[in-house]
Amino acid sequence: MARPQRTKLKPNFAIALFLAWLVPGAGHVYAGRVRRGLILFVTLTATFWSGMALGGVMTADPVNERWWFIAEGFTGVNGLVAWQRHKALTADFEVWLVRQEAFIREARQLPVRAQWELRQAYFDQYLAERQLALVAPVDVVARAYAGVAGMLNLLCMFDVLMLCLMGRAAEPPPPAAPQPEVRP
Amino acid sequence: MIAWIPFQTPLALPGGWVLWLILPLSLSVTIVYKTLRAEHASRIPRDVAFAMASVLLGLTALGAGLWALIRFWP
Repeated sequence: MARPQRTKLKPNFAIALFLAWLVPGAGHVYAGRVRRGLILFVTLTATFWSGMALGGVMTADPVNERWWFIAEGFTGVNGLVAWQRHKALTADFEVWLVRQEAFIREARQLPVRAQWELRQAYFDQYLAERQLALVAPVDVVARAYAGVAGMLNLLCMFDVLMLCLMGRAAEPPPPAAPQPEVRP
Repeated sequence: MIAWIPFQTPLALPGGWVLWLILPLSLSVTIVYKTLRAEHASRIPRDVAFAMASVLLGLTALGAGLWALIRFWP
């Protein structure tokens, strides 16, 4: 008795796009291109975290390096983890800042804009004391690694979206070996 | 040199080292590009090797050309 053949479901483009953003390479795995998905996952994750390792916690900086931060956001869960680490650092800085009596004394006499600039100056001091300040030339390299990983994942997202929309999601068959010429 | 804690403090790199870090980044770009563009997954390693060789040759030629321009330009 012949076994009933399982019909393959067509991958949903919205799910593929979301997965491709969330975990680099996951969109390709979902679409049926497992080997490519794994290669993309390893390459993009390694590139992003190499940048984070080089630059430290200040590599993802949503305040002063907004465009790099947006690019890093395209790495999905990697970018979210980097953002959370930066937020934890900022929260620690706020706790440190309220203990600085000189800051509170000075800030009371300043308009709002000048208060923000003073706060930034104290943030720079806070980073310098903890050796966390990201300065040239490492800042460019670290942010380029993390940002380029994000931009490459954007390319992967676009690729998996197009594959799903065009109905070419699964891996194509391997190229046929050239047939020997048969002479009559 | 400041003690480096990966993922926490930045690495203090000497200026000349920065240029070498372009190589792993270009390898990463090449792998991703060829993974997306290769006709079949089995061809990815070969395609990456050829593309990376082209990138290295191109960068070397560009560097040599610019060096010659600066060195010998009147």
